[in-house]
Amino acid sequence: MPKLKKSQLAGVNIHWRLFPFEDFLDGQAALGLKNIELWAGSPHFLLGREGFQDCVPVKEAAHRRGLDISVLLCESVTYPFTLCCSVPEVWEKGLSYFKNAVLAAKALGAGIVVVSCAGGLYDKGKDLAVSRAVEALKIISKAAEEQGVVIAVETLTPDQSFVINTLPELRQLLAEVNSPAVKACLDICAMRTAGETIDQWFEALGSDIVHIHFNDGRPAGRLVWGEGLHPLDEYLEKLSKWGYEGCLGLDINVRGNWFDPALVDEKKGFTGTSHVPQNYWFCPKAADEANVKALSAYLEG
Amino acid sequence: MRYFSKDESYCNFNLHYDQNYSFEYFCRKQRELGVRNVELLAGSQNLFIDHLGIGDVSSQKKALKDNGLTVRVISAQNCRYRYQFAVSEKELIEQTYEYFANAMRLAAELDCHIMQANTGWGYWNEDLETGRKRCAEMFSRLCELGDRLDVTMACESLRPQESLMGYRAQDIKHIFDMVDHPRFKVMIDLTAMGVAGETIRQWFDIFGAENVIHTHMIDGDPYFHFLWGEGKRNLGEDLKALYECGYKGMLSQELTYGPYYLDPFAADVKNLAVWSEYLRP
Repeated sequence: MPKLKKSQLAGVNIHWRLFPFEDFLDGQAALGLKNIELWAGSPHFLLGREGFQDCVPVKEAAHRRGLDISVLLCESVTYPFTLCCSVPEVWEKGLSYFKNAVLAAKALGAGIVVVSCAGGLYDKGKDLAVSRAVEALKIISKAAEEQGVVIAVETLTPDQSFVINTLPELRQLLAEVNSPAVKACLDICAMRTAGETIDQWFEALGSDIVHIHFNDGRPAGRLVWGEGLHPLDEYLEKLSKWGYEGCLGLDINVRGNWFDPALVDEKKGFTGTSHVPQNYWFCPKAADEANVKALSAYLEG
Repeated sequence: MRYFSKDESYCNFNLHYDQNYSFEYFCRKQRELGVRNVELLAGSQNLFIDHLGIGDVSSQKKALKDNGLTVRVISAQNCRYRYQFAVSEKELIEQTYEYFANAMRLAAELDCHIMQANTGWGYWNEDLETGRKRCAEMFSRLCELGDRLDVTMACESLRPQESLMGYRAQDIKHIFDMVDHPRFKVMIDLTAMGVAGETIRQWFDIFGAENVIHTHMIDGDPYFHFLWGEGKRNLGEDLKALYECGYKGMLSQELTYGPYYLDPFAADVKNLAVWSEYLRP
């Protein structure tokens, strides 16, 4: 059976946003995790084009619980600023937002910022969307190089954005950006949605895969492990084969379950309005516990 | 019986266009559909605002004018971004006020007199009344600006998964009474109403026709924001209820089910085909 270090698991706060940030940190510490991937979203962490919140208390709150913020997840899809934005005035404002993400990562002690390419418009054409992303990443990469932070670009599923959905598209993008500070994040759900494999990703990108978003899915949906269709055993074996030692970010999307009938049909407590544990949107702690439990058979150390 | 007119009451909301299509495309397509009234999302690249300012809207004004569209409602993104009406952090409260104030200024700039709102939400582990007080305070501040700009808020309920403090008509009534200002009125979202097990007539009984100034008229099962025919609601009965209750506002199409985002125009065509047998020209 493939083995995984517990320190490779990185809890993410994206589904904890209706609880205080400290509750999220407590939950991760209680599970014995060592690393977190901080979703830089409201109200847990304010990141904007004008700047970002004081990082010292955030970092200290994590350290007090034995947690390191190893990755900053920069909201690149559902927030107003996107890398592929086709309106020049707004695209430029977005550059400040993404540069601030790099600076915030540095201040938090995180070596990696995860971004994705959204905001393209079909009627303006895919070429424009890609060229905006390339240009933006070239500019932001300068800040990343200066700060010693790596930007990890992930692919997205077509329902999130049509611009970079596949491995060849990501490879092309990285080649055009051509910066040592811009690398790849493998999102398992987007990978499988595109019909790709872990082997293909590592063959193509190798050690340029600096982070992984590791969730179950059908094939998308970013579900808790055990709720989807992904072959966990096989995936961990592949990661072990390729010697991957980076983090596995658990950025589950339990909120999305309420809005996608394809995901909710078998979901317990869907219509509930109380804080029942099987209703993960009301109980993120239970979601994280279930996730770590599903992975526990593979954990060592 | 055709209770409502397409030109006077049917309204398309550009939410399902916003992710993948430009503002100009949306406007052009509405003209093709013969739609005259629109509800516009503010906050994204297509109609940018944030707490620091308002984007240049000259091209949007031109597209609206060129396509004969009237902006009936501005709906500043109030579910996805950092801004929500019941926000609790001090810095965020001020940023949220500025953001929605900018949305109201944008509405005035576009000659629109309604800003869509919801109650926002508190933390899940927080007393519900605490959150309601915070959103009522936010609404009261915005009402003062609404007076100066001639912009009125229309507050909808949400689904319980979005907000436990504002998912029933009685929750909205409680907040309505706390704010108690002519610039703060309400609107019906059929999905949220359906999820709460309520009826159109109940909303009018609680608030009175003069205070229900907008609707999101979408199909649901009761969840989701489907186009008509894809959910379980009965459009004919819903329109009859609205008419008999004396409703005078827009019938706005908030189509947020994922597949519509990929081809919003196709969703609009399909939706209008259902509506056509219920609308006068």
